[in-house]
Amino acid sequence: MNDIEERIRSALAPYRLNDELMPRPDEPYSPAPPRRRRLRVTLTVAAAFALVIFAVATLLPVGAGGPDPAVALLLYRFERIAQHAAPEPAPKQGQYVYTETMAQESYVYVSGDGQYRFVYSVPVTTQQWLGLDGSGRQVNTTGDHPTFPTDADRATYQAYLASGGHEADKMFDWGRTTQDRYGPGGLFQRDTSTLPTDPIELGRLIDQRQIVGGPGGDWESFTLATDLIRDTYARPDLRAALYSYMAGLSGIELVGNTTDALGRPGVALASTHDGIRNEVVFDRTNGKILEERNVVLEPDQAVYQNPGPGEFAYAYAGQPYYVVTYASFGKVVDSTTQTPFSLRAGSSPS
Amino acid sequence: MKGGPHALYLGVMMRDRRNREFEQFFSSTKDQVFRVLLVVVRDRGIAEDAVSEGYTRALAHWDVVEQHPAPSAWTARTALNYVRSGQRIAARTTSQDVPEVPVSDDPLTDPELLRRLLALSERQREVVALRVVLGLDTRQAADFLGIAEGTITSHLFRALTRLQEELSEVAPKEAWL
Repeated sequence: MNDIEERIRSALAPYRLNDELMPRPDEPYSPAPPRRRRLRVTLTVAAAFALVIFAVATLLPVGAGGPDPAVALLLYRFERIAQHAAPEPAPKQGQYVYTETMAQESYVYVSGDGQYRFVYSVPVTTQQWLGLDGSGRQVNTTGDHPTFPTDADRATYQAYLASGGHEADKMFDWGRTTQDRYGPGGLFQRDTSTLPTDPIELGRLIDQRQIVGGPGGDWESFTLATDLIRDTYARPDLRAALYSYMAGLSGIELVGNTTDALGRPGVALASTHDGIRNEVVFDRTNGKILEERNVVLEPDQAVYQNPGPGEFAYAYAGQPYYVVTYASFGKVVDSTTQTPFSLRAGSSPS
Repeated sequence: MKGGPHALYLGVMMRDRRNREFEQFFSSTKDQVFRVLLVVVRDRGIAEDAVSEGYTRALAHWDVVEQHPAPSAWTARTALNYVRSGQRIAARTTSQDVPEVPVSDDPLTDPELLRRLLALSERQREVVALRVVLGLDTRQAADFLGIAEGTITSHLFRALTRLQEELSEVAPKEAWL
């Protein structure tokens, strides 16, 4: 691997930044001007609703290549709910958007001596307070014990512990909590406040990968749209446009009713690509995202058989390699120590 | 009354020292940060613009940034956030094909590797850029992207394996112009 790393560095070496682009230290800082807000095409709710019914009933092709009418109906329902949602408080200077997630990641672990190889997963709870300038705080808490998909994986893990190898490899300090504070720009923040709320205009930007880059295809567009729905702060009119856009995507399946890791009921939609099914669980009452699951349909044997050592994202066929449950997102708080509510079964993301 | 000639002199001295430190930081890291942006956004103009914005913000917050464990990572992240914030939407390419990085006249350029590197998924390019180009360790890269360390390792492994496999199918004579 070192050869290819060196070759990458060599290939990029001729690319240098033009020195003229250096900021002059004595020049006062002024942020880049925000781009002009695009004109928004507005439709009345009644006209939009009539259009939805007409489109779903008569225009959408059924079968391969077109949107699934059941998926479209569900998403148009979410669009109407968002259109009628009460305005939500936007974060102001000095305030923070609080996000609380529970992630379950699955790995294959290869010990330092290559003797032990097992698949396991461990929960990680993340609390994040994100300010408008990208500053904030993040607390990560790792669960106090791993879980195993098979008895064989558990047995291998126990044998590894008995060998004392985990001490030499400095692995598996379960129950660890880390806290980090970040200055301006330290945390990732996507500014969605300037995105258009016209579904056609917004869809064009997503299709052309102008908001977030990525490969083409409706499966990727579905992922990008759901990312925006549960992003730092997506206001209701933006969410409405995103639901409407997603209703026109092909290849989205209605998985059906389900329950997330916190016991909350929801309905799941999914897109599949490259052996991975991306399932997204929506709250039926408000269309917000409760959970996302990446289920492996065709495991990558090269990852499982890699010589190691270390941990590599991996799951067996039919198992999720990544599940993230959103206990809270988009809630505005006044400090990096304030929480709107704590994780508990039955609570809905707010 | 605060200030006076002595305070003014001290202020000028501190500002000069601050500027010198920043200029040193800029000179020693600008190319690396530029290459990170180039690999992730795949557009030289956007990368230059974003890096310039990143360093401008680093300068504005230099008192904070110089205390950061990896100031170049702070700048790269700020530059990437700038691209992703939509402030460069109007200028971005609309092509879904792999955009070409303008190839330098330097004979050491490896166009086949660059083409395949830029065809990796965005997450894989981010991980390669942070780990291989910027030289962050796994923990720093995980913090940067907000994902688990194991996921960083996995993406890096997959990306480098794929590049190695693809490039092994190309004769060295063709790969190196």
